Amino acid sequence: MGYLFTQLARYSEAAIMSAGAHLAVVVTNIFFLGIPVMSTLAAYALVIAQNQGISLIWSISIALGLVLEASLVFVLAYLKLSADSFTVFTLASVLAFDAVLKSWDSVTGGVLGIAGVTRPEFIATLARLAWFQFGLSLFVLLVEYIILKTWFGRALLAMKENKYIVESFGLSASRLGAAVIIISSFFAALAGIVTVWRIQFLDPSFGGLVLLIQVMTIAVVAAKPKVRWLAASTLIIVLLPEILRLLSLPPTIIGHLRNLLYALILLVIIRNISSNLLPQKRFI
Amino acid sequence: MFLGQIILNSLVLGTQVLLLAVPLYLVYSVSKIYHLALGASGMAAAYGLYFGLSQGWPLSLAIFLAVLVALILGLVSYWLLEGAARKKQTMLGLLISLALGIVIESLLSIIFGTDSKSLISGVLPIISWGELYITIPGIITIVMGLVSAAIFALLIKKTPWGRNLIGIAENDHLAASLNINASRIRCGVFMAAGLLAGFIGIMTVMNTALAPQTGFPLIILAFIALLIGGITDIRGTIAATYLIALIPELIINLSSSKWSLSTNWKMVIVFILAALILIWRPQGLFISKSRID
Repeated sequence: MGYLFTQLARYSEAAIMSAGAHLAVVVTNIFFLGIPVMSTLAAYALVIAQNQGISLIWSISIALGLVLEASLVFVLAYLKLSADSFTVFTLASVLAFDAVLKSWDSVTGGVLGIAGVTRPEFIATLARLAWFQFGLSLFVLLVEYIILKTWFGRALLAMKENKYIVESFGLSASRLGAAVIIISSFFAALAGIVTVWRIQFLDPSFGGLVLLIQVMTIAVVAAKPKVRWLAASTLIIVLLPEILRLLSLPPTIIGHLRNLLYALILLVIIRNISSNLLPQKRFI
Repeated sequence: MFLGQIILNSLVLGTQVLLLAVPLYLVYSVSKIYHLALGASGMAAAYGLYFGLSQGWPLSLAIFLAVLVALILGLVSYWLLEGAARKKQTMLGLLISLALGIVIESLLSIIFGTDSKSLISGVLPIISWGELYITIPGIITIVMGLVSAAIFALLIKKTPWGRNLIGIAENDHLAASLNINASRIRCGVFMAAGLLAGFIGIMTVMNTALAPQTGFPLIILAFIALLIGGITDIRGTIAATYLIALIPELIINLSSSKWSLSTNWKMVIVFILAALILIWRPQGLFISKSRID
């Protein structure tokens, strides 16, 4: 049962994190790769605040507040830079934040990290935590579903098609893009918080490129701007590497094999369904 | 003299980044895609050399293997990215190159492990002037870097070949009507970029250690240099690479004992520097703003 609850928890965490990536990449075509940074920032902020004796509610508020501030930095970069420059800039932020975590020993514990993270009382057991995370993931998917069904979601889809036409209808493409980055960051922060409650240990390997590849693979495999596709994609991508456990492979290479699998899936999917990820361009 | 050593170290590091920024710029010139897998390709070539040397092969054969790996990865990159380049899907091209980089890095980690290895055993040969010293691979890096950057800058700016490169990315249909085979030129550029990346991969690990994850931070630094210097001007890129090499070195080495910073902070300083410069001048330090028609 412990294994099943762990898989349920992992699925929920991935779904919450990928909802943001799905909204940014698939729905709006904003390739915001700073999602692992937001997730890790929220996790570290929560744990450090709790270790300072701050109450749970305030710790969560501090974590979400810091993520909001960091997302505003990315919004500024989004407004200033071209699309692909912004993408690589956010990718660079993953490396830069990783360097901060490893270097700032006095605050983050450096490469050794922070152990003994406590869970809230009401989700002290793995089973309760897993169900709580599942409920939260359903809530996040519902939020995304509602977003996609409203004028906001339609505006985001229109932005993907042609943002100048969106502007001509009186909507600000900049504000829409900024809102997407903030919402994605918020979802990533939630995922980071619930994940650190499950693993109860935090070190610089918590987020990083490994998490980015998983999240991007889920978002890209989902392909269509539909929540059910996202849910299905998350299930496939989270459970697929479990097949590796059936093979008698040395534990040292399992992680690399998982990354290899995700990257290969990403390559295959992008090359084969690229027309679904980007709108058809007409050439006159 | 201490300042002199910092400048010398920055010169070596800056040239390493420059040698990766040049192929990045070349690939961008013909395809408008940031080829993030170049760092990993460079490391793969370095591992090819390491494998040959560790098997006791003659140096020439080991170098041949490294060149072969670089060329094959250049061809693979071309095969994967050509479609995206032709359809002007630059974002997907970026994602493809990122995934390719992860594939190469993961394969290297699985085959060779993640522990650091050395291409040269023992102490690196150095040349010293008084209190200043520099390694022989460092000198080779600087000479090759400056020469190749100058050659490519001249080729791109002053020759018909360079104008063809830029024209292909702007409008390859028009280029085709002028009997310029865009696909063939892109293939050549990708393979040349792979070779350059392979060379810098080998030079880098001669100065430091060989590990699969070394390439990625280097390509990100090269990209930041490209962004700061101005994507469309290689001269700006050349200046920016030395800027992002020198400033973090100065900050880290001249920081007081109370606020001493380790070299791990280098990436953070570069990122903050890039963020500040790009907020001030998003088009790059050396590019003027112009209307997009």
